[in-house]
Amino acid sequence: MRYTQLSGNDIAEMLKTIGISSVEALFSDIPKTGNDRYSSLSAAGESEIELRKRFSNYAGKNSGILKFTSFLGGGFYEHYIPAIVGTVLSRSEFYTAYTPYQAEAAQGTLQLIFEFQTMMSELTGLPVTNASMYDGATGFAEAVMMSLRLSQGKRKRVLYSAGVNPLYIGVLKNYLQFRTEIELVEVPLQSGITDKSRLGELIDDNTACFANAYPNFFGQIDDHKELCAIVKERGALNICVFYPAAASILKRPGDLDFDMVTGSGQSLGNHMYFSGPAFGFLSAKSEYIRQMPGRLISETADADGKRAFVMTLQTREQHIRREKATSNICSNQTLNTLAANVYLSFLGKNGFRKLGERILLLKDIMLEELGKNGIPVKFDRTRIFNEIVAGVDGQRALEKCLKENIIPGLDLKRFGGEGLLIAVTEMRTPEEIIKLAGLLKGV
Amino acid sequence: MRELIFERSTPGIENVFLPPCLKAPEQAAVDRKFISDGSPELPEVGELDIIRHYMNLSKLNFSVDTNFYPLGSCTMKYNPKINEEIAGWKEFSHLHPYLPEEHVQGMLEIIWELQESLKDISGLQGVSLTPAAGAHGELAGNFIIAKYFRERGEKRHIMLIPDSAHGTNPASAVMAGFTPVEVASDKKGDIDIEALKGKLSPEVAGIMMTQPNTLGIFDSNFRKIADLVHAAGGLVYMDGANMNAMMCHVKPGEIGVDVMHFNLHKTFSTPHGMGGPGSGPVAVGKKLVPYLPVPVAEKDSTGIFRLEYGLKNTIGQIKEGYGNIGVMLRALVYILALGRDGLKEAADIAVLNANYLKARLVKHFHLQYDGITKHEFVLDNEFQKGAGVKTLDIAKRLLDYGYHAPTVYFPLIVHEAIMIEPTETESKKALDDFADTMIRIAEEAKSDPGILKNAPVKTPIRRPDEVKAAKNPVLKWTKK
Repeated sequence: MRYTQLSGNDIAEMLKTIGISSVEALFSDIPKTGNDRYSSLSAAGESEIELRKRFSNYAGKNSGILKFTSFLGGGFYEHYIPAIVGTVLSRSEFYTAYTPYQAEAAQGTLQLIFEFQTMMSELTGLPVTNASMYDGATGFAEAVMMSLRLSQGKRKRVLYSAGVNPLYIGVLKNYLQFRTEIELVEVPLQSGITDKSRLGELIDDNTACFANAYPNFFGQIDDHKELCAIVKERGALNICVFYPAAASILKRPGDLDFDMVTGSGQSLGNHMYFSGPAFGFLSAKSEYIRQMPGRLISETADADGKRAFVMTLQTREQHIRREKATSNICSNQTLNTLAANVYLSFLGKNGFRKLGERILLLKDIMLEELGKNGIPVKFDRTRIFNEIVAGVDGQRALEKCLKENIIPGLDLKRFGGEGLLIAVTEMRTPEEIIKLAGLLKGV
Repeated sequence: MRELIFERSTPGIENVFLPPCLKAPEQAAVDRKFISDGSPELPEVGELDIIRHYMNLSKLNFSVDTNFYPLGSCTMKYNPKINEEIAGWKEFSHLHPYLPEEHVQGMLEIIWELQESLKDISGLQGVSLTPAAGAHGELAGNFIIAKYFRERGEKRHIMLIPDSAHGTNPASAVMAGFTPVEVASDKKGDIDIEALKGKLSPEVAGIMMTQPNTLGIFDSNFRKIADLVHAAGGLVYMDGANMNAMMCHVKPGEIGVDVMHFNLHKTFSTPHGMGGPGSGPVAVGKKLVPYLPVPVAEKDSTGIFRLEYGLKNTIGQIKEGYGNIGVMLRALVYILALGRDGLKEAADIAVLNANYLKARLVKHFHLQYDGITKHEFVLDNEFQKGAGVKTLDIAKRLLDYGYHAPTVYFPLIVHEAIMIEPTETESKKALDDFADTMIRIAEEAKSDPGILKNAPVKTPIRRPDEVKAAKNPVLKWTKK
């Protein structure tokens, strides 16, 4: 395939205008290094017919998963994506545009992001939301770094709950590996929720933030208001890693005294895509806006007084501030945030609530069925939104269930834990749940 | 006034999307204290009106599919539709990242294939696809360099960055604990060798160079610079944002580059998505392979693919999964569609198109650096400023003619810069039409500069009040 469109005649005329005799002359300044040494890349391209065949072959090797019923979660969830989401995302006026540097030629993009900021602030309960981060884990790392900046470099201790997604904790540690002055301290769990007394002991006046998850990696809901109060008392900031689908029915983190809320937006209209792309979000209280990383869109007026939207407070960003910027982020995940816009618009206020009600109900059915089959549920069953740790061997459960085309959940051994983390979303049916619970019996 | 989706809302409107109600178990398990009283104030709009809302918003955008988009340094080339279609297949989009590896062999093979292709194109020995964007790739590269010197027990805290660099370069270096030190350019737009020599020391960890640089110039001393930095014990990082100008002409790994990143959303035709998602794979030379971010895909002797997390000196995971897979899929389709002859031809035509446009415009707009350029070139308003016309005015007038503006006011080393990158996918006719329009604007600047200062008048809005927004930012809609 070729996507260029110059004829031989065009090229000849263009060379004449430039005043050279061959295209090669334009490359005379580039060192020649014997570019015939390629090991895997073939010289010839493939036609669409060949590409389709090749990728059908790759796809075929994954196709077994299409018949699976999956209870996998752990940060990536199978939620229903209404057809309208794909339709809007396939508009190339959206996907072939870039960062809205020219506001007059990008009002569509700018308004979308403004609407996104509004919707995410509704979900998190905090007034300022940026245009997006790469994903939940990097958004989390950026939130922690933001809290360090907000202490003006005076506080150098970061506390996080052991209930935060271990992948996020890993990325945070890796992001801070060359900031040796920063001390990362884990607050352990007690029966699946943050150990309140240990938090009280570990927090000090050098602590910039305490980062917790809601619900946590093991599906449990903490008493956040009480924990936030302990943190606040020492002048530190409360950061929440939030599963935004939970805003459908649970109290919003902003209403529980969190100062910053971050997380993955995959559950809001984005496919799992083997981990990406989806998006990360970051919301904060208004007073922290100057230390916010990433893009912010504001409403304003044009020269005629007409409603308009623009990028704002760009002096925080790398293209203006360079080494003094709040972050190096430039490209973000705007197309994926559009999926969230359309998804949340489609569900609407009432539909979103019903989604939460259904998830809770299916989770109740799961708890009941596990009970009937004598499968132990670890931790507190009154603190669960949609993920349950079953006290069974994850590997044996997987082997048994795979024969029935069921993925029973996430084996917590992958993260050094024990048990099977079962996620329930609106995609599962009572029949599937009954079948899973039956299979887990005796594992 | 243009409506927000919230302003179309009618209480009680609902799109039914869930199956009928379920029979609830005897007792709900969750403690009521966790349940919210109300619901988030999301819009209540029917499906048809939602579609109309978004379709109408889409029409307010300039995009590659609707307008010539010569945004310098962003490589706004055509995004082939076969890429979109294949990337959308549910055998890819529906994969949970924690599925057993034996059930996702096709996906792992794609990751591995792309790694191998990028190794070939870079001439480097290791690739990790995990970074989510160019700046994220820079961050990974800086982490790799920092960790390399840490393991060797060398305290090197300075990262040299030319003044023509992208703003992300210094910002990324800082996040890896480096102190960025600027190196000046010479009159030709190359790095000033004497200035560089003066800054090299045992404290220098490396240099971050964009090649070709943001002036569109391939540094004629590149090898010499690499040799100097290596002799001082440092490493050479190449920002590969402009790889479109040199792919399959030269392999960076063979001219002294130790670490580089690619922008799949620039060079390899994946769409820019209004700002993302992108993908910024990082490639390294042999001695740095053990430092790559994990996981990387590996193929064993029996042809089985797996994800490797155990690289000896790895900087660890820097993203929550394996990277932006949907973007990688499109890039691999593109690379295979073109083959290396096609990639080389793409670079040829990208450079030819840029030089042709430059030749047509150079009499009408001032060109500060007039040496040989690659895929882009930088003009400025020197010929127009007498009439009080700024670069911004030229950019805004282009919008009236239906063109997206070039990158303006960057690079910073050209005062009032106008940075033009046409890419290889434009036809000669499109280039001629654009050149004619630019020339017409140059004439307007002389005859009636007020037109430019008042532009745009044909876009959905006129110039927005940015000062008002910065002074009093309104970042979300509030119910009146």
